[in-house]
Amino acid sequence: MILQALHGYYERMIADPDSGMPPYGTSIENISFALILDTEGNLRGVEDLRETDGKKRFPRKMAVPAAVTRTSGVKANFLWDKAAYVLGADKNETNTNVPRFAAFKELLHEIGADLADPGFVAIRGFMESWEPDEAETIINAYSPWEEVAGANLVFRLDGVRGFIHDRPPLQNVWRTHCAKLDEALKVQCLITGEHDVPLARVHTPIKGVVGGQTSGGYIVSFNASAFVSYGRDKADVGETSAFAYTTALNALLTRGSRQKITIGDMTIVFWAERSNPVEDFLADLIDPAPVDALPQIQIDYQTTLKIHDLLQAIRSGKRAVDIVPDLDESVRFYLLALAPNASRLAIRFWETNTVGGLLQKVGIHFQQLEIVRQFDSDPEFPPLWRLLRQTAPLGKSENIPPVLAGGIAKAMLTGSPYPQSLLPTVLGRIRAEHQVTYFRAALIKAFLIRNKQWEVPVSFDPARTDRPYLLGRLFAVLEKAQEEAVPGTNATIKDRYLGSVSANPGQVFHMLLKNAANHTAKLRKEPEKKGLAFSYDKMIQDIIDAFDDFPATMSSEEQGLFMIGYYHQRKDFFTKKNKETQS
Amino acid sequence: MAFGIKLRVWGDYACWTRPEMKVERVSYDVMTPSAARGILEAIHWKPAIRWVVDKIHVLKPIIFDNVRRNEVSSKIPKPNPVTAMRDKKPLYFLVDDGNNRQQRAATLLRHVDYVIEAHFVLTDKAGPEDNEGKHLDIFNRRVRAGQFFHQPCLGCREFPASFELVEGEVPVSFYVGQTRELGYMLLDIDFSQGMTPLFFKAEMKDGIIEPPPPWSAEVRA
Repeated sequence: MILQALHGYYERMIADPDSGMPPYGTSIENISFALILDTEGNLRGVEDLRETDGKKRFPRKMAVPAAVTRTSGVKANFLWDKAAYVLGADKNETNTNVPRFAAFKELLHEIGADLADPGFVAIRGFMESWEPDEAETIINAYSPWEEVAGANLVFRLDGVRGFIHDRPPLQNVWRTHCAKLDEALKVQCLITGEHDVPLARVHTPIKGVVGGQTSGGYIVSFNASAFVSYGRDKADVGETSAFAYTTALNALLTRGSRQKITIGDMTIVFWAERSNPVEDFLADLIDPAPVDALPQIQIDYQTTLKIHDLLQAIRSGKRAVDIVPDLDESVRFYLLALAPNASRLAIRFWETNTVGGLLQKVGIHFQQLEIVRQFDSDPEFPPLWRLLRQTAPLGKSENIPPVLAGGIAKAMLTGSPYPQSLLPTVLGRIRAEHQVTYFRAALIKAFLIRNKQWEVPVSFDPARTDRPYLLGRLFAVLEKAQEEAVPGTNATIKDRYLGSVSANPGQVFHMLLKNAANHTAKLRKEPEKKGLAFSYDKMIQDIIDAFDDFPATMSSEEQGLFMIGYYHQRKDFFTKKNKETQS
Repeated sequence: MAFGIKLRVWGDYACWTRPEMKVERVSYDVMTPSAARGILEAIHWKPAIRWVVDKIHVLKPIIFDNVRRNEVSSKIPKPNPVTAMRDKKPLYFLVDDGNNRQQRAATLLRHVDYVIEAHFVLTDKAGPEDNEGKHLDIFNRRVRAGQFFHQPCLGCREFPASFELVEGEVPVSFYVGQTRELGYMLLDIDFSQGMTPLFFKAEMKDGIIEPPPPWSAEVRA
């Protein structure tokens, strides 16, 4: 299904001439320079094709006759190649470039022996008269040799638009040449179901997966004997189908693609069966920018606002069509998560849904995460990467447990339960750092709702009577009493007991309550805080009255609810204070 | 379909590995016909009969999960067991060798439950003592007694299959009222043609997949 869907995406894109999807027989390569030739084949100039992005210059991506797979040995490409092949020289001045130059020349003769196209004639003339030994001096007159020597080069005819490899007669001979090579085994293609199609020997590597090898990884590969069944060491995929799915996937994974998100160690690409606006903004939904971020660029700010409106709509269960009118909710939508494993790519998850169904899933995710914010600067819709960082030691992205990252992303996009390890991980971080942050509280809430079907309110609920929640509130009150009585202590009871109190309330609370009695007694002695002492005593009394005894231990789910109670109560203290200062 | 059987198989895990993604394994959505045949053959098979899978019922929802397992990169080369038998030497295969062992991810299925509807035909190896009634009785008796030649499994040997005979109605599928395209799926291996894989366009209607017989026009065309 994965390869079929990618094949479908390729066919959709190739039908659109503006998509830039390369046709069969070509590949997208990094090209840096074009050699300008006159019709006799004399070099007239070197054109720099690179694009600048900030201070760096990047080679331009261009569709050229498909690259050969070069592992070792000499194999030339048609009408384009590295300087070592085209000019017979590069930075290391060795003799290895002589056979390369010859191979490039030979391939030209082999494919276009009797071709009269002026562009081709020019290249042939150029190759005949070119002296590799003088390459450095000649090129230096136009462009710095160090840059040209390591780059891929194409040809252009002086005064003619477009590149020589794009000229129709040359594209024709290249296609004929490709077809001639197809003396491969004929098989039934498992992507299209067609019979007697030439078998793809090697599938193009997939580049752009985070953490993968720079030369790319393979989805389809049989690189060891254990992977071979029934003596077949190739998958039954036709040459053209293999080209289509690899090209489509590589296009989705290119730098700056709007249809790619990286979460933890996985790379997720997504696409729709038919053109759909969701393709443009899904990445923003998963990692929304905060609305109060500096509105530096007006357009970006507008988009952010629009995404925000959309998120609010889908969170409250409304339909996305109300915000984005041109959305077709019935279109099928595909999500593919890839992770590298040596030279291969593993499929982390694969999900097919309708656009409407997908947006609904994302909406439910944010609805279950919704909890009162600790600070006004906290994002209303927490981006996935910020949530994940809360599960990692030192808050570093590289410490995020990979299985957790994948599981949470999967839960968000597919509606499956959150990973079981999420709750213990978050509780472990709280214990280690003595902090119940907005993100952690949100994660615990979402986990308890989705995985345990518990009811957890968005904000402080004084009427709630289950013991873990009350214990959490009680602990927040005790901490507050201490803060008021002994301001500026180095280690508060939160720093000392937040971990143990949630796991073993029976052991810890008695001691804490005794201390709290001392704290309120101290407060009572200060005339201006007398009222506070009274109100804390009353709160403690009210909470304790609601249950019979302190449990010896609490399960991790109960500990989670404890943290929510603590978070809500604490947030409530500060909200009240704000109201007092305002009035 | 006089000699039809209905066998229910279920288990916690299943991986019907796609041939194109068998290194970092990815499962098909549902059991393939050749896997169903393999399960039947694990319970009863003789050269005199050939199993033909008629229908596969998918009872439970299709749920994918991820597992990382330690696997090996090599197989025991064919000459090794031959020489081991001849010279009466022990045969060994070093699984814990760092060069051989490797971790691989698998995207597999959880909590599967299927009903296989199948029948068998007699082959030209059938002798005068073979008849359909006999083999049908043997199969039914063996299933009821829980007997098998080798443990039937759900795609990988690590995922054993529980099985029972369906004597009454087939339980209702989760997918009743839905039609789902499953793309091209492995039908079987044609052993008479040099182990050529055959594919068919799988469609699940009301939770039921009806694979074409391996020699039909749908497969060949």
